Amino acid sequence: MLVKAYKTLDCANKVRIHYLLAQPISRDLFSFFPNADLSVQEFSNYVAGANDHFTLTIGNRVRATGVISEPKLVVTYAKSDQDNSSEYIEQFEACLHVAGYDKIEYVLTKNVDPQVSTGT
Amino acid sequence: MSTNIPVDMDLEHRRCNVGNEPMIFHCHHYNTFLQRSIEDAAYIDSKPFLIGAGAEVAYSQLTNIFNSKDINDVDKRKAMAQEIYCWAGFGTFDLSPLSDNGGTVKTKHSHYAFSWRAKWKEADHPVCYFSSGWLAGALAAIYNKPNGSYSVEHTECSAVASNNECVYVLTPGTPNYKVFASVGIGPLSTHKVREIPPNNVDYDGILSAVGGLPLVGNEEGLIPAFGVYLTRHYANYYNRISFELLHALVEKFGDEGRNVAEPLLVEAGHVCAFNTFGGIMTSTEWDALIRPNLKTREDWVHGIVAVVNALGWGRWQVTKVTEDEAEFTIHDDYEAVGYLAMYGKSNYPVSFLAQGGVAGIMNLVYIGDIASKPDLTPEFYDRLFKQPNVYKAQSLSSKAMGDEVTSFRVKRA
Repeated sequence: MLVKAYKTLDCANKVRIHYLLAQPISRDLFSFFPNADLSVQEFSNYVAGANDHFTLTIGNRVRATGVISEPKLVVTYAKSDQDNSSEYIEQFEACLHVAGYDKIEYVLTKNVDPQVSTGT
Repeated sequence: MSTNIPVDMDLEHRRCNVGNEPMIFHCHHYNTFLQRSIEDAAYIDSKPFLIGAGAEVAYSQLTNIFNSKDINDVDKRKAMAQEIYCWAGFGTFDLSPLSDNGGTVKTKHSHYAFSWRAKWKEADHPVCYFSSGWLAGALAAIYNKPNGSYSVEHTECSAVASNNECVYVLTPGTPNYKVFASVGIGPLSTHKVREIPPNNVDYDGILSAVGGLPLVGNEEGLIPAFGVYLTRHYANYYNRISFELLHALVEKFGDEGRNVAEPLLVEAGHVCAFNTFGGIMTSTEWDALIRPNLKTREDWVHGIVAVVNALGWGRWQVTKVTEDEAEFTIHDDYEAVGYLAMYGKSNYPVSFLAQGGVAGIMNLVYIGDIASKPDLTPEFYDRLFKQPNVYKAQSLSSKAMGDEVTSFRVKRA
């Protein structure tokens, strides 16, 4: 399955990649990241109509967040000018590969977020 | 890791207190921008109060916690102090080298140094005034001495190019900073909640959900969230350094000094709104919790106001909102409460962060189209805040002046 990816930097110059997966994220995906700590914020218990949110962290070098039932994954990696962020990117994307997302296509515009094109 | 920290959630007043010190969320953009604005103010020696305010809150908070939890062992006191500092997102400290004769503390993890580099690259001088003061206040509390019992020198700072860690040297004796006595929580009121326009936002649900987020320092003592680095900072610290700047400028230049200070402090509020509110409204947390129910742009205003109520800043309400104008009412805003407690009634409004914040909300929603998830760049900031026809906030009432609430009308200039 195809993943579109847009690479940028966060405000502390850490590499941030927005991944748009071919299908909505389900909890099954998390099992493909065995070294990650998973935290799920069950917002649907608090607000009618809300979705649940998740955070996957691998040490202090990878932090992935997203909405369960939506296809977007936002991942912030180690600092680009000090640490070897490419190694962490490769490891994270290898897990995506095992999960069935075997083609990652990097695009040049940020518009990988389906909510942007559909507005509110 | 927060299990030992006595967090007191005062939901009625939309506040969070730890050791009788009100603690509020702010991001690294605001922390560094506010500090730099204060440092850059001409003719004012700000270092003594930037450090002294840090000592003030640490001393007060830790003394209260040590007494209320009956923590008398020095090692346990140090452990509690370290835990709070890391939990709050300020970085990490190992206090074990310190004794009642002072000593040297080194760390590679400092929120202020990290943030300074993130925002402005390298600094030409040590920037961790808050941490310096916090250490001096903490050490006095740990050894049951009066606040101001130690001087502190920040000899190396990892924000400076040649340094890779922060170093602080504490020495018993005359303090090299201004010594303040904390006012604690301050005078709170019974909130008479205003009617708000119909909307699609579940305020109470959002308050509960955001209040339950695990926003605590990681192994490096940082809180990455909403695209920024958060701190659970001390309301009395922000108030002290902001109002000391204001008073110093007024003392030196009269009304002209006030005319210099106010725009600086309001702009810090704009920076906060742009980065923190903008970061929240473009975050995955927002997409999960709030966005699914938003149907109008007015809902976006209500949505971010609902989140602000979880930041510890007091009870925020938007009582009127259209594209033309909005009115915001704030019960027990932390600036006014702090001012009243520290200095008594004011002759003019002093809720500068709130003033910048409410204008920022309107600029983000109606001019910046934050729903389209724009990148929060310096150029985008200039477009939202530096143009002549953007939204600006005008004070309608001020709790610090004796009014029941603090309120603002926001209109395009």
